[in-house]
Amino acid sequence: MPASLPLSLQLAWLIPLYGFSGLALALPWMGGLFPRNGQRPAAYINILVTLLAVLHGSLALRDVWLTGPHHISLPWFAVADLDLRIGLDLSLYTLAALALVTFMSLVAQVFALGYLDKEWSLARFFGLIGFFEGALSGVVLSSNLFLSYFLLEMLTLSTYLLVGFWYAQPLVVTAARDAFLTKRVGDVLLLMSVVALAAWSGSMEFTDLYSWAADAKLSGSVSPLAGTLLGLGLIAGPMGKCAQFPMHLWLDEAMEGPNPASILRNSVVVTAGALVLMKLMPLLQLSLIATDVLLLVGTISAVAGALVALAQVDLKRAFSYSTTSYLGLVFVAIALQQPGIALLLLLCHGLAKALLFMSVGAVIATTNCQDLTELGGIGRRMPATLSAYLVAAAGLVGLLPLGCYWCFGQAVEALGHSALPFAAVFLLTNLLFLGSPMAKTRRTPEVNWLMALPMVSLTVIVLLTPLLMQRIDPVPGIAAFSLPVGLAVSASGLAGVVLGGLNRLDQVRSGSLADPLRGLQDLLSHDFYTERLYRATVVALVAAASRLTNWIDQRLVNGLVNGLGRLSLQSAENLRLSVSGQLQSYVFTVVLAIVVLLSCISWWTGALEVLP
Amino acid sequence: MNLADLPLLSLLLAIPFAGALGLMLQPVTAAPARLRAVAIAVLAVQILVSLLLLVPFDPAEPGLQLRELHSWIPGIGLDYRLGVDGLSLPLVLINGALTLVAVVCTREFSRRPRLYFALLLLISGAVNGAFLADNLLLFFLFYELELIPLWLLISIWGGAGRAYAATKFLIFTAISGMLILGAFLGLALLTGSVDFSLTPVTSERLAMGSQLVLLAALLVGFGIKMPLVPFHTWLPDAHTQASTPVSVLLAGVLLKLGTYGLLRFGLGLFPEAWSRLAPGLALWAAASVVFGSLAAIAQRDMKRMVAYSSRGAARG
Repeated sequence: MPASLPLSLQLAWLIPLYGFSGLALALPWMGGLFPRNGQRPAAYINILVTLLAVLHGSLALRDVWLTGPHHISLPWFAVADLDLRIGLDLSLYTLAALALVTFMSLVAQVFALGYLDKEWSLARFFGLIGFFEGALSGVVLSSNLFLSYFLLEMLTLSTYLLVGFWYAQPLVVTAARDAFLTKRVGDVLLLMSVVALAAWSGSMEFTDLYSWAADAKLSGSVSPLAGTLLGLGLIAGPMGKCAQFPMHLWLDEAMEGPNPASILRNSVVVTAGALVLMKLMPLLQLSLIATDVLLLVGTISAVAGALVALAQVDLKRAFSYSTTSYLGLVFVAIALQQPGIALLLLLCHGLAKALLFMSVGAVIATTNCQDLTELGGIGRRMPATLSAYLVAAAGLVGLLPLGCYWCFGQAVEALGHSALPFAAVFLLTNLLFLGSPMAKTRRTPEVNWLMALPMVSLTVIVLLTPLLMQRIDPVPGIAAFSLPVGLAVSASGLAGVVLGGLNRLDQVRSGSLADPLRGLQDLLSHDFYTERLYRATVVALVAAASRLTNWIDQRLVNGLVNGLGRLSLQSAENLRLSVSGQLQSYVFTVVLAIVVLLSCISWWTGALEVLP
Repeated sequence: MNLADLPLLSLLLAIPFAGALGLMLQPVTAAPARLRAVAIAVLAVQILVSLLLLVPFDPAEPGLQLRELHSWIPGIGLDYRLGVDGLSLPLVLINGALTLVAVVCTREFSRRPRLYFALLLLISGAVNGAFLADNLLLFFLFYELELIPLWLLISIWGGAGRAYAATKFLIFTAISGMLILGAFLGLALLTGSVDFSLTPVTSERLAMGSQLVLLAALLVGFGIKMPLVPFHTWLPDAHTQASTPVSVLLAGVLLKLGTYGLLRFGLGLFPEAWSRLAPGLALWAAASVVFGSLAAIAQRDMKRMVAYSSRGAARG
């Protein structure tokens, strides 16, 4: 790399390492070197390194703003003809995403300091968050498919560890397992495509892959079937990460983990998954089917996720389904070749959803309850939480001046020309997000300042999102959509809010007595019975296959071995009876054996000559 | 003194063997904890020496390095030739580290601790020898040498079904050794040279048909050790019956010998025949992975599950 680069960019590879170093520094506390009631220093160290990452990231952002995008490449591992390099892409949008990641991590960590106040293994949590943040920043910056894959796997691992943080509870264990396995399915499919790409194109840098894909499309060197399989494998990874339709169950279960981790998971992890997908997008041009599948998956996730979210009684689960739904919208935008809209949507959603989860966390921390039917009336007691919640919800559903409104507007405008039904999806999803007011519960004090501070500051940021968006994307103008579209979007948002306000919470949730409604509600609250469907199909299939394999293994393979053993023992027993004590018969046997052996050898060498 | 002048590779063999001998020379009444301390000390030195290998080792240079050569029985082509390269170096490091783990995690001292620790060291030395050997016969010697202590470890310190498991292991691995020796001898016989060196066989020297037959023998031989379906049935039994430290060694080090041998000798000696068989091998390995993983899901015994999953991991 040229020496003229600003120092902050030369050392950009350090940014992911800050997070990892947080894990390493927390190890002494995690390993029990210090007493269990003295775990705070590990948390402080982690917050400090995250702060460093934020500062470094923003310096780099400023330098890139001034000097334009850069690419740095470091040697990593070279054996014979295998040359792995770490490639980092320092462009405006990766660094903006990095700033989002590191800042969110910082905010979530400060929040966690308050939320996990009485937690014994504080150091373990902060160490894991450090690991998480490191992998995430790596994914965001990486310009190399192999590195991205590698870091996505690390993300899977850290998600598993974070979801399983309270590992003594059975529900937590199944949730962590499901999260791990679901993401693994996506990762393995992604790995297949990565290996195929490595063999076909010979390089793992995204830019090389793009030119390879363009060439391959022109020359037709990749058959349509191979291209389709490749594309499906490539989208499977981000689908697992973003909890999209067939692989969405884990995000809802993952709500068993600590809330600060949920903040990160619902805002930035899904963003990272979508960013990877965006980087892979040019490779998907090899196959139209993959794009169609992406579109389909996004649409199903958006509508179904929103419907299912409506019927949840668990506060966190409702919002996790809404994450699935929003990421479905992002997928639709990506599949329709609108990366700008997807990026804006990711940014707005990330900020607003993080704020939403913070306010939810504040409620849970003070009431120790996340059942919506038992909550309500918190607003007057917890003004900061209420305002945060309202701002976040308004930002999400696209009420007029806030972030998502502009995204939706642009999306509907852009898509209206090309694909009207999908524009309707945006409007519909928007409509479905009924803001849910809370109205019960006495004696709930406001949260402590450690939780209130990040919450309030994020509230301000969410309020300022439109300005932020204007700075990032000034050229087309974020308000570049026509009046009717704007009216339609705001109408749908308002309609949602009004509907939500009219529906008294505890009445709706406690269940309808009328049969058709009841069935519908059950269907939605059980996530269209997807879990049972999986149990009946995939899980049952694998279990049956494994029982069959075990039977083959025990009865056939091992049975053959044991049979051979028994045969030789038995024949030896029988041969023993033929021992006569006569020397002649022994000599005869030996001679016979030698003759047979020699003829075998001569036949064998003759056969060898004939072989090709 | 220059590190490169030291016979580091020979030291890696001598230290565990001498340690095993030293342990056997201890009085029978020696306290088990003390015996374990001796074993740990020996392994620490062994690991230190294997780490020292990293200093003179040049990763940029392909081929075997730090070679040592002494003529032993030149008449039958058995030379004492050692060498290390990028493939064997990490394996040697893993071997030392995992033997240390096995020694440290030994909880049960009651039965014949002296012999137990000596056998562990013996395995470590023999495995080092197999990884470092640069002569086919020498490799085979160490490959067989490692078998006996492991057989004893399973059949003395094993679980209730240890006799069955140990015998099964012995028979399977002996067949594997026979096939490998057969392939090596066949190679010498067919090419007419008895130097047993690791030079690739080209089709000018040997017809493709013979190459394929010899490679097939090696494949089955090392396939038993790796183990690949359908030559795997010894492993679940051996894992279940062996005590945990021995299982650690079995899964961590000894199974690697199969993969190592396949790469070093299968690919190293018969590159042309290998490239012909490669697609089939990939299929075989993939089938092994799927079969092993599916069978692992159906297991109720945890050690058995590990055994099946390590079969899944041992892909070519």
